[in-house]
Amino acid sequence: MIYMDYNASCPIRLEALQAMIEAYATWGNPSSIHRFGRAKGDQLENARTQMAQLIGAEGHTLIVTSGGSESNTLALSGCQKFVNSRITSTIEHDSVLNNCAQNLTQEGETHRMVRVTSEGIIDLAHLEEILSQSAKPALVSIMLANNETGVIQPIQEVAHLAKAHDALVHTDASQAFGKIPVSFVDLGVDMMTVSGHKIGGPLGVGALILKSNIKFEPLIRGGLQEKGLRAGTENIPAFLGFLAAAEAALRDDMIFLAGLRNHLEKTLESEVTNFKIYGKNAPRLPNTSCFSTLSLTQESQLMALDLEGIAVSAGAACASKKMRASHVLLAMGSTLDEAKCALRVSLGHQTKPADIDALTQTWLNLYFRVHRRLHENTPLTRTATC
Amino acid sequence: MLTSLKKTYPEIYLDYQATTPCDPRVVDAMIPYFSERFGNPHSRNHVYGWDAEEAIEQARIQVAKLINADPKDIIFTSGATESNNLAIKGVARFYKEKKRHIITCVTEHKCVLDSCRHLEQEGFRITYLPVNPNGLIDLATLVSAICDDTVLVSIMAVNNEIGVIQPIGEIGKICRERGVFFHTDAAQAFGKIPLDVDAMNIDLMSISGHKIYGPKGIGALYVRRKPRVRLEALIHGGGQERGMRSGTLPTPLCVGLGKAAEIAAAEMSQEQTRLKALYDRFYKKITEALDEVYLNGDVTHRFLGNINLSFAYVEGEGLMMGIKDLSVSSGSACTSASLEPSYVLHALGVEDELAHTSLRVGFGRFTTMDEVDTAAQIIIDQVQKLRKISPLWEMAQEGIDIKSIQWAAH
Amino acid sequence: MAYSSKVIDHFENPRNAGSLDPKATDVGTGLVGAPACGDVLKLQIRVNEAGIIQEAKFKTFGCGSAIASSSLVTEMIRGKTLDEAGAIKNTVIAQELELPPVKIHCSMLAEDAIKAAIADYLSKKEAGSSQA
Repeated sequence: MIYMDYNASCPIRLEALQAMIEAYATWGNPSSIHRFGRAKGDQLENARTQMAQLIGAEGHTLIVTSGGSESNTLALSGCQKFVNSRITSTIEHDSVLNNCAQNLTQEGETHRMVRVTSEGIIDLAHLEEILSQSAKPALVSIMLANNETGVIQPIQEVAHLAKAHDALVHTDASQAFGKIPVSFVDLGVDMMTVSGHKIGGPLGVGALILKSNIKFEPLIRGGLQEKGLRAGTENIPAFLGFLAAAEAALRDDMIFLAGLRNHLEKTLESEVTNFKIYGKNAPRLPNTSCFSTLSLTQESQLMALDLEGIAVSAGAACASKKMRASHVLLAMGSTLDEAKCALRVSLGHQTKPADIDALTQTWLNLYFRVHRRLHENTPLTRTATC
Repeated sequence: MLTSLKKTYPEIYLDYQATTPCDPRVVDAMIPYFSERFGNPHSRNHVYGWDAEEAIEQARIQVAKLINADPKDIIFTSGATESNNLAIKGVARFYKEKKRHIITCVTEHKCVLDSCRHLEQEGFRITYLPVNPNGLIDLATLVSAICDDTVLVSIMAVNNEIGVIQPIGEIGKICRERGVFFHTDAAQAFGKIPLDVDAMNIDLMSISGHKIYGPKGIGALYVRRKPRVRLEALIHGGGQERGMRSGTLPTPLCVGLGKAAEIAAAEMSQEQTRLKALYDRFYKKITEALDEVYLNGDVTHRFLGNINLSFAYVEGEGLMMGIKDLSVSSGSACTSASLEPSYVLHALGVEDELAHTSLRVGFGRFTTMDEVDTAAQIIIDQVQKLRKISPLWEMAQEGIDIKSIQWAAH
Repeated sequence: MAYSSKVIDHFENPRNAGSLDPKATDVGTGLVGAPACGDVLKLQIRVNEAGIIQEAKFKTFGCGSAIASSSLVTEMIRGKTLDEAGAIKNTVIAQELELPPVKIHCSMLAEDAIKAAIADYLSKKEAGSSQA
């Protein structure tokens, strides 16, 4: 089996698994004052400090959450009382878009979305225009790297523009962290989401980083865990796994992965006419490739690859069983037909050159088969065979 | 078995209400889903996703079975705290156009009370039912508190501090008759005492993983579909879990919760017998050796894995320090960093001076009779030692009524 | 909450725990705190003719820090004059025991107990001399 859907979920790293098994063997509630609890509490605080260092967020608040969706929801709802408008982009994750839609109906506040270019990069001029028209203070939530295309957004510039308009900035760095250098302080944002299972940590854990002076309200209320910003007994084993995975991820050879990705794209591009690579000319995550050619539907590609034991994706994993055209690709100006042919390949720490060869081979075989059939079906060839 | 519990501390762990160790059988069940069988359960495009989805559905069945529920009615969450927040805020907000009154109880877990207080700010009316000195609510008071715009009654099944079991079946019956939704926080009850959502007319139930020897970071909310309970989501996103709780489901943690539920179901009756033996032994030893020890909460309607005692004239935190080899709690783990006496004991009418002397001792799956004996002896020795240096004990022995003294408040 | 080794030492080996005869004319008793607040501290001093504290005893209902503060105070005041003992500030106690901020009130209680014991002794002495 060859797995190349790392952006959906990443196989756990050995380091993370070891850290977790170790943690499960001991126990304690960090809120308890006895020694079992205290030892756990120390462990949690040490891990929190280390994670903050890895993420360039020393001295800022790091809230441990149940994952990226919760972090995003928490970020958007946490400062809801303190902002009067929201600005996102057309390519955000559902947890950001749906949250805004939800609050829009609830509170009647304005929510506007920034356009992206055909390369999938947000249009900064449009952002500035919206910022100047929006009720202040605004909250801007734009992802650091897109999950489907891997396109990296100019968050530093976003933060810069936002500050000029007294706006708060949140960035969803779930896909970026661990694949490109990410520093909370350098990005200049107020809030940042990271997720455990996207970098080879366990599922069910993530974090939201907050600038230490930000005004903020909790989403889940109860105990005083996480400075009162997130009640519930902390999932320490998972967070320790997350930390171990983050440390390992930062040692990954991303140049090697980018080389594999580029090799895949070049090979397919050289063989296929009308081959489109999304965000090709934009800065992209080194592991992600999203492409399409009009003669191959998503279903046919997935089926052919699955038969050869290759797992890739037709887009973001979501709860809907129906395959729907990607809102990200449509936002980039892709036609519906085109979007329905898009395939996402995302590589990770276990990907080998042979995996890329297998994918290339299988995919090209399918392409040539279909292409030949298409060709045979034209009247000209029919005459010839007769 | 791949893994086993390591005793890394010399202490005896008696704080099973705060958290429980993850059962090695649960860890073993989870590991494959962390490693070779990982996969985003929402990926529809390949076998990794299907495998994960199947494992999650199996876990849903295991959880549902323990409370006689339809597996489709189980929503996975990050834990009981989130479940309580989701149940209370979610139901209240969904029905807010029609009904704006909620009934709960003063001894509920902090996250239930905090959710209710937050709803008060949003314009809801909340009735906080008092409890009798035994810690149980009065059903007649509940009946008279229900009014036309009551949308929800939220009463916990087993209290985390004193272990009393509320009359859930009766409460459910009252709620069903009056057309009010009934939510119960079963974090301390699920897997420990028999629960049946149909027989008890429960509409929503909060469930915790790490209180039943499962992993932390996972819990569930039972949300009845017939008759249908609707709620507004707290966490938005991909629309997982019937749209009530978005976020990628953590397959291994779901599997862990399922396995923990399965084990709890299989071992519940024998475990109850075992806990009763531990409880009886402990209580007998303590009360035979020490005078003026008081059991908090009802004597019969209780979960026997929890024993909350007041040791008159000995301050609880000092006692905790004296028995440092025992991991016990002098209050709920969530609030024990603060020095206020427990609001639960206060609600029972336990006077502050006695509330300050209380200790919660929890027994569980890995507690042995030897540990109980050792623990009881350590507590007896320390109480005796501390009473010797307690001015209040001295006065009591001399027949001075402590209440007759004019204490300066400070 | 981590206790300092000094608190633990005083808690495990309390110095001068016990009682003096409260009726004796050379004994002053200070009883401060309240059971409902979780701390009661009884400090007793025996004072000689020269006005020097010869002996001090305590009994305390409270947390480890309260017991340690009381125990420490009995050592600190022995051999001191009433004026010297009365001048002891809670900050000295707190620093010596390395009390965390949430436990500072224990040291304040100990300071109050010294003052109360001295006041009790002096009022007895005054009553005694007025009788004589």
